[in-house]
Amino acid sequence: MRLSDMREHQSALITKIEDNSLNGRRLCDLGFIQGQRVKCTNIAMLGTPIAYEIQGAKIALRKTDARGIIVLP
Amino acid sequence: MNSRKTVLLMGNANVGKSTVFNEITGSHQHTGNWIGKTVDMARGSYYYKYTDYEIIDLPGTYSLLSFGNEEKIARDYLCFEDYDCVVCVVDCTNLRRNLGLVLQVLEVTDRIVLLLNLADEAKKKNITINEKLLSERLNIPVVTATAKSGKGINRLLEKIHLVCNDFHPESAYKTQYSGVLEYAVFQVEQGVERTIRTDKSSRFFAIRLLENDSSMCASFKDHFGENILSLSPLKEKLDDGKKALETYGISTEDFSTSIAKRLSNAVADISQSVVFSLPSKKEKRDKILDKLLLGKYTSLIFMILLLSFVLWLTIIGSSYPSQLLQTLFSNAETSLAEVMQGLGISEWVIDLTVFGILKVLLWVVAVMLPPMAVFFPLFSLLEELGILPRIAFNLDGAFEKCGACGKQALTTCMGYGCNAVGVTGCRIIDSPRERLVAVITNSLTPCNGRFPLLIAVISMFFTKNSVASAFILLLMLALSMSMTFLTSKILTKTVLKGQKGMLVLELPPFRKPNFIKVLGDTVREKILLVLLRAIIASAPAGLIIWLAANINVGSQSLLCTVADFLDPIGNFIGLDGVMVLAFILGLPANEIVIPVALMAYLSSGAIGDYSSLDSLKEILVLNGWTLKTAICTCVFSMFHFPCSTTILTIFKETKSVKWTLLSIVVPLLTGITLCTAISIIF
Repeated sequence: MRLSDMREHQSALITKIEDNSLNGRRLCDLGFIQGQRVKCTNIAMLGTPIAYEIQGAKIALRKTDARGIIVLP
Repeated sequence: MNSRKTVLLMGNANVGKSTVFNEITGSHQHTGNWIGKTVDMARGSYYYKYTDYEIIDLPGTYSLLSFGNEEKIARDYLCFEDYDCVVCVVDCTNLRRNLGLVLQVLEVTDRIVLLLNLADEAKKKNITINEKLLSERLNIPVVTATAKSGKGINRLLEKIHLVCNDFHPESAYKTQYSGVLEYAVFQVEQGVERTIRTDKSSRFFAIRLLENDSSMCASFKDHFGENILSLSPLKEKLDDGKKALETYGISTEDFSTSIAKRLSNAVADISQSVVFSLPSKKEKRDKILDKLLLGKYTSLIFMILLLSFVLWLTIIGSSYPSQLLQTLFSNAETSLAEVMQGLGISEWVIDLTVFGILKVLLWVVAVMLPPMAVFFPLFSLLEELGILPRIAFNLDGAFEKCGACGKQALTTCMGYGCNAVGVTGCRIIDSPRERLVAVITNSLTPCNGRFPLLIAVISMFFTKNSVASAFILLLMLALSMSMTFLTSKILTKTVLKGQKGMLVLELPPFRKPNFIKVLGDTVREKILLVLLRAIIASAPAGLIIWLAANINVGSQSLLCTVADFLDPIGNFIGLDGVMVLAFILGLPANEIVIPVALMAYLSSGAIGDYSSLDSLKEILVLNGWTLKTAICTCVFSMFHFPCSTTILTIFKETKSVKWTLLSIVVPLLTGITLCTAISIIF
């Protein structure tokens, strides 16, 4: 399952970062790293962006940017 | 011991870096909940224990693996400039997210003091950090502080003093990588050490070179020469390292990922051992608030209510002070004229200076100052509270569909206050393409200077009921918002085509703002600045308007002649020549559009006050105003060229004549098209 497909209030573990571009690395810096717990807290009106709780902070990403991360619910 | 020492301030955005800076230097600088306040590096100085210190506030940074412009500036400064100490400011309430940057900085230099800021908020959230243990694990000085109240700053200065004078522990913590990774890093480290002269640790350079980090390689070449990477022994050692990785089948990407993972594990390990936390009430409150503010349906209602409330408060809160200022100023003008008469100054000089230049200038101040004094503090308050990033979150979906950035929602909102401020605010958008879209479309948002006109026309020609007129005003704002979306879409499909930038929006915890500070900051940074620019622009305009009204061509004044000349154009777009001329003369400030029009209609020689809206309507109707003229005036006042202050600001921000011209043409074209359409339909 992809990070972008998570339902609101769902928690999951990050298993893989597929995006190897600069964007993927930026996600790493923000705390989206293999093995991290992530929780989808809010999804905006149009389905994007999506707010995630990661390492105690709330970060919103666009759906397209969140696609590159694989999670295990 | 009296040589000047240099100290760098580093840290994530939102950790109160600028507050620390102000607290140390005593100078004032804006701090905010929103990223990007310190694009231009602030410098300050202080004196401590017989030593002069210069302190530099680097832009807010999440990571040294730079992505944004500001992060690159911070990284390059850290890697290539001379300094004696780095102060890493981190947020106590979220050590885990901030520690990654600290570990990265430790790969560049050992000369670090770690400042655990926002200790008061951590206490409220039931979070405690074992300062001593953290200091032992990282082997660097650590200081807990609440910069807002100055607590811990003295200890910080003392630790900086120690580090600057080499009384710091010999080797600070370095993240160790496993097996072959560490071997490869070590090889390149040696290569770097033997090839270039730097007092920084070569570890950071080595890892970036192995990662093939393009932006870092570019900066590397900038500072050490174009052919640095082909110099020996760096070249050989770099090849050695890469070969070692290859032998184990580790690609550059794998290497990057492993390094990032190792760093994050180290962060998790360290923070787990030093942080103790209990769940707090505040988190629950934040959760409920976010449910309302970010909910699918509640957010829309919330935003409309908030916008209405802010605009309502601005209009109500400023109408009385505006009237008061106008009466005050007009009395002052009369007495000044009398004094000048008493001094025997000739009549036309008094007329020109007092009733020409000074009157326009004071008029602009009287109608501009009160709304700004209400709107901008309110806006800053929302920023401090943490509501603005949430508005950007709600609107980003729509902006993405138009190829723009969600943060444009914020610059658009700033535009309600003043377009010049909105344009400057576009700095918060990282992608240059999306920033341009935001700059060009900003003037499609009616600013405070245009609201009085809109409101006056609505209550004269549409409805007298205040609720109904508020509703019409909201409809107009909806129109301006949809035009913003539409033009953004057109721009990104035509002249500003390109790849979508990434959006990372931090939704910070809600914070209680410091009212007095907010007020002081906005007065200093936005209001006074804009007011000053408006005054500079309106004085010459006053002169031109007075001359136009008092120089006669044939039987009537120049003003009326030009207005007659412009009449066909005006009629075509549903206005008349006088209104077109008024908008052109209103270039320095939109506030003077109505007074100038009045002057032309009445063929009077000076800008006049009108006693009431009813009498104003009478004059307008006598001069051929219909409902159509009223609608077109509203539409055209929302969409025409930006005021001169904004144009100057756009040029300053884009440094390009082409984009400045486009920013003038785009709203003007929008307005002409809409008005022509309305005038044809009617």
